[in-house]
Amino acid sequence: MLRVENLARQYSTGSARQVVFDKLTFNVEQGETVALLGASGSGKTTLLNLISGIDTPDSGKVLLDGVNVHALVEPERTLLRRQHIGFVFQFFNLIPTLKVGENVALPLELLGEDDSDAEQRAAALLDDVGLGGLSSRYPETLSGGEQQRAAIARALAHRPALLLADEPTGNLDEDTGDRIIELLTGLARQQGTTMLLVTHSNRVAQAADRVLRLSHGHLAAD
Amino acid sequence: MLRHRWQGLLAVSGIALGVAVVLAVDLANSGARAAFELSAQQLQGKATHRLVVPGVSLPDEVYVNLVRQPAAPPMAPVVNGWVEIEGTSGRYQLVGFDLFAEPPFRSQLSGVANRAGFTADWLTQPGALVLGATTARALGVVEGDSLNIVYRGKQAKLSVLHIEPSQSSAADDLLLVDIATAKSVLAMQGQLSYVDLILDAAGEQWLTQHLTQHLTSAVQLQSVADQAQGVTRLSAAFELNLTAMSLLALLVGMFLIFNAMTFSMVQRRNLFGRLRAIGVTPRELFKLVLLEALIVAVIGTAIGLLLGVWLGQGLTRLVAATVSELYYNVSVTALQLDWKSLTTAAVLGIVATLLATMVPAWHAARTPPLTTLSRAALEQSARRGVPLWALFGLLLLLAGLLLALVVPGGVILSFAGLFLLVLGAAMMTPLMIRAVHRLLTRAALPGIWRMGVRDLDRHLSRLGIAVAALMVALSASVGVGVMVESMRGSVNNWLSDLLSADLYVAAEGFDEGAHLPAVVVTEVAGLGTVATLSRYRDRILPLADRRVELIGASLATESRNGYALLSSSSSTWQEFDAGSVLVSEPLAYHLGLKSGSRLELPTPHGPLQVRVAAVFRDYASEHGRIILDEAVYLQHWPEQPVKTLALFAGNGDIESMRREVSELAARHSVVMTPAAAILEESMAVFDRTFRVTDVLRVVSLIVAFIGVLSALMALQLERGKEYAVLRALGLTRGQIAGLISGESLLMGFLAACVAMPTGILMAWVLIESVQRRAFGWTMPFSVDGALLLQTLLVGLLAAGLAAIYPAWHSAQRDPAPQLRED
Amino acid sequence: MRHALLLLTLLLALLLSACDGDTPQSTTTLRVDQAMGGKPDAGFARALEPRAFKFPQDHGAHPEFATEWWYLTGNLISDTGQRFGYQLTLFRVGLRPGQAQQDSAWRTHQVYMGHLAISDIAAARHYSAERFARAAAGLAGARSDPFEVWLGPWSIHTDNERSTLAVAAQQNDIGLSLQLQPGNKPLVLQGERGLSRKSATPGNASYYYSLTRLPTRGELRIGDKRYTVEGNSWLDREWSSSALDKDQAGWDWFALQLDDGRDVMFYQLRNKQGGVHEFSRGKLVEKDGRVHTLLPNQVTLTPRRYWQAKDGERYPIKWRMQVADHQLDLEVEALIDDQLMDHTVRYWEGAVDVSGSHSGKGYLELSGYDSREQLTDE
Repeated sequence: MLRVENLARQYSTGSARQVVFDKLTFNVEQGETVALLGASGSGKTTLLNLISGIDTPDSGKVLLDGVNVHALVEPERTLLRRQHIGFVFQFFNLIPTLKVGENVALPLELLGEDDSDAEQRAAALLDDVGLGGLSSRYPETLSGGEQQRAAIARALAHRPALLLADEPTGNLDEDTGDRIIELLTGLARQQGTTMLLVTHSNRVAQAADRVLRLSHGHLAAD
Repeated sequence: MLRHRWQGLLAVSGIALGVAVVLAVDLANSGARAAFELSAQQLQGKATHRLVVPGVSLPDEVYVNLVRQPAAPPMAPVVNGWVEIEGTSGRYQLVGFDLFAEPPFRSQLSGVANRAGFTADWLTQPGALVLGATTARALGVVEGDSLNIVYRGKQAKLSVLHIEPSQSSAADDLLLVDIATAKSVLAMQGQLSYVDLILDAAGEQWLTQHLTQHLTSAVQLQSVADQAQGVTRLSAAFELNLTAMSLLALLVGMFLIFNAMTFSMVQRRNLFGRLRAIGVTPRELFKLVLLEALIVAVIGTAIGLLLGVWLGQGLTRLVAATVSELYYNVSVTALQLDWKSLTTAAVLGIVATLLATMVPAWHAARTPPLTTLSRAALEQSARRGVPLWALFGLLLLLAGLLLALVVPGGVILSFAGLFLLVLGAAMMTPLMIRAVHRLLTRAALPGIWRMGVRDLDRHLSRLGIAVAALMVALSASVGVGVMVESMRGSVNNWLSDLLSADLYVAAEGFDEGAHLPAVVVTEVAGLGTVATLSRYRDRILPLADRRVELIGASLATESRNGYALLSSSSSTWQEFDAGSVLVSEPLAYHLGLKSGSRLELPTPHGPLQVRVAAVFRDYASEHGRIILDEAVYLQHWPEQPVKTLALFAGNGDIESMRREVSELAARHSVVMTPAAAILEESMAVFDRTFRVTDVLRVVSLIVAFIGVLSALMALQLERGKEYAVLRALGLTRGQIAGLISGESLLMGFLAACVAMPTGILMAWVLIESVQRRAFGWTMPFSVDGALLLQTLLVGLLAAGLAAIYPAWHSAQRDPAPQLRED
Repeated sequence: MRHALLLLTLLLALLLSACDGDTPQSTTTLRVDQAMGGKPDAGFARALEPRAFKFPQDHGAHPEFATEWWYLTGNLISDTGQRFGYQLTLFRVGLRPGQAQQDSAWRTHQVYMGHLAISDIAAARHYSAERFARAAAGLAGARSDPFEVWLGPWSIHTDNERSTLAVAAQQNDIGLSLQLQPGNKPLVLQGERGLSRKSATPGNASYYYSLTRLPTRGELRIGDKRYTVEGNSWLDREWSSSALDKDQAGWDWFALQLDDGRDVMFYQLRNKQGGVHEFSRGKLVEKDGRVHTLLPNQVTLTPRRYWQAKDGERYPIKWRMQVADHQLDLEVEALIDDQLMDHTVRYWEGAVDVSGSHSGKGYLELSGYDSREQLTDE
């Protein structure tokens, strides 16, 4: 479903060039949950941004259902994200001026879905993540765990084919983190969503079907 | 870091802009005023007193007799008059001096004669002229060239004897000639315009005594201070115009500063929370914030003063150009750095900044440690404040109306009322935004638009003030626009009614003091084609500190019908024929006259008691006009010649009357003018008077536009992360840009919506209070739909333009780095 | 000829008046030779040969000539014994020859300049003033019958009986109001029957007559102080259109009233080399009115003391005058050193005392010592 081929990315800060990774290649199958395990600064977030088309690689391909993401023009990549990709961020990144329910409904609205449908779907999702009744609260009034639950609901709202989760437990305590991972993997499996889960934690990685280790720009299977 | 640098920059630039616009407008106004007064002052020189015969000229003998008295103080005779120069627009003052009498008085002649032989040429060559370099350049003449001038329709040739290169603005704008030349050109043989004197107390006593012993009482000794009250002022209407514009600039400037400062405070509440957490006491925090604000204020004000001076130069030239067209040529050689203007602007910059910081600083100090008050919660509390602000605003607005319309007082009070009114309306603006927002949210908008609408409401604490600033600029524009339009309409109607005759015959030039030769009056009356005519005699009568025009008229029925009588009865014209007078509205207002009132007119033979038959609408003179039946008039001022004739063809042929009269006019060098031409000329003058208004309106709009721009910029900076997330969620660049533009346009729309009623209210106050108190006239209030539409468009345009850069910038930004950071 | 010096094209003078008003110490300067060096306008009449003087007509103005003056000086003593000197000069200057255009009653070619000075000997102070006016509209002018010449409030005119001259001039801190009696000296025609030649060039001459001793009484004012005074005045009348030659620099002019009743007038013309010009002339008037001509070879003048003005010019203010033919060996010395007339035209004019073989009083005029920057000829 997702194929990453010979992906290379380096940053240049002034004259110094820092290679994040070089010739990275791996596959993720449909419905599979893959954990990408790596230390801080190993380029995990960059990899996710490259996959979603937010960032562009120096070379290599990202194929999503056979479509080369970086061969698309920018608006097409944006549409691709809008329709097929869901995001869960380490820092939740809920829109602070939108209520929780509105945040969840946002991807649906972007897809032009009917208001009441979107509302219903959002309410259902919030129930699923255990936030039923908090729909009209503002994100900042929620705890970290609650915010991440809302973020998961938002990420799944439009039934994306691919869910990209970037250290979803990075800002949460262990217990909450466990519950979030449980929720995330559970919902992904339930919806048949392919998920790439980026983390530095072995404990989190264990929840995945498969673990890839990223170190010094190279991958090693478990 | 970058964000904080930007915030600082925005705060400083907001203050700088506010200060700059206030200073620039103020400098332009005072500069134009100063240039105008300088021209008047040049003529006054070191004189302390002036000998005049009010309304007319002074016989030579008065001066010659005085100059031969052993105890005579320094004296300088002057003959002056307004002339036109062929091939140029505008009027110039021709001033005839006696070179030998000048040294103690005026400096502008000092540099004039640096060439041997000059004095001989100046004295012996009729028409020898001295010009300032600026004027010479403007006229395109060099020494030796001639200039054809026209005075009351009569041509005369002057030749440029010398061009004074001196940089001092003395002698600029004036046509300097020997007094003999002036007497000849201005037809003042045997007459002087006035005599300047330098008198100490003893001199004044001597002169007063001498005058009473030897001269007729017609000669008056006036102090220079009295003179300043006289005719050498900008017309009050123009002054008012400038004052209103200064006020507008002040308001917009204040809002800009408030905008910038609240912004910078609101954006850093989290930082304050953290500071509290690490042990900074509320008092320390408050002081810290105020200190920072003071630094920002000082830097912003300093930059603003520089910017204002620069901006002021351009504006001053513009205003001076209008003054030149309207009155006579003034040149602004250098910017007058008026300390009052500088101080006002500086104080405004610092005080407004500190005031704007005070409330947020107090809030910041009260921030509980580490409970980083969330954005949303903050906005919620801001929204809770909205009704309170609106209530306060409503109270201010009502107080303003009360002050302007109910409390008796002068124009100053009217302006204060106007100020409060606008301030009140501005404070009510956030509530208006909320109300409109509610309406819009109910409407089914596409998702992204709904987001824009919501954003505006959610960022009320910051955007509210930007909208208010734009609203103030727009409403002032509406207010002044509606006032000018109403006045234009009224003047037009009034003139059209008044100018009911088919033809007017007047002395050339329509100048003060010009009159028709008696033979013309007789001949015109004898023309077969003239069915009826009205005669007007006119003199200035000092009455209750005003220069009232006293008109003696023999009025045809058609002319009578032209007067819009405000308080009259069916017997008004019978009373008029029996010796009662008609009084113009301004005079009636200032003296509290109505039909049936009694009025005392000073005549050469003592006071004359008259009854007021009616009050008529009049915009001709803010001093006032009185119309008296010709027969009664001639009993008291038998020598006053006819100034104007109004001719009616009746049922006859207008064209043949025109032919007959024009033949006669040519023979006697008088002018014949159809009513339409007078109307056209009058309206042209009216439009010129208010042209500067347009320029200043545009300036204030530009500044408000920049205010919106900086508000948007600041907001975009803060919301960078949000946009990155939206991009990640699948918003295209176009959608991001559209979102920002939409929000901005909405701001413009809202500002315009609030500005329209506010502006109309302002116009109402301007007409009912300011105009009435300043001039004493009233006018029907008329709102032009096109003007309102224009306001809406201008609001949208300003907001739309302001959004271009922030929209482009946010759309182009790479979301990846922002997603990586907290 | 004395004040031939002031025979300037007054254009320059007027120019200065416009600049500085009452205090013309700056800018331009007139050097007498310079001022008089230019060719006179051909339209003016020239003094070519003696004329038949007619009075009172000739007391009035002669506008066909470029320059003219009424020049009064005198030594006075107050009833309290204080000595004073005074000068009142009214100059007429024709700016252009011929009639002015008639566009206005204020248009004229004639301009008047007045100099007024009082020397307060006891206080060693010299006060002076200057004024100008055009000779039109009654501001200034001259007429012969009844005689009056005036410039604003300054005036010299005959009284009702035409027996005395009334002199009145007030300006700021000084003023005088005097009555001049005819006395018993005759009217003296200077030079050759009133034609006073200044050089060999025909026309470089003036018409010149004097009233050398006019008993005077009246009132002087300095500030608020008024002094009742009496003494003797000297009136010079002169008109011409040009005077000095190119090589002439200036002159030293003496008008002395000796206690024995004789009056001496002598002007010494200096050429630019510093020598005495052959056209220097004078007259000695006996007590009984007989007149003797004084030629340069009869009169020896020796400067004895100089006074330095602040601009550095040195004025000889003490002289020895020897006239052997008339047994005169006189010391002539200024009563105050600084009696400089620092106005549009700069010259030294002041009261002097006479001692030596004879005693007396008088006035001395020193011209052509002005060292300031020269004006151009234009």
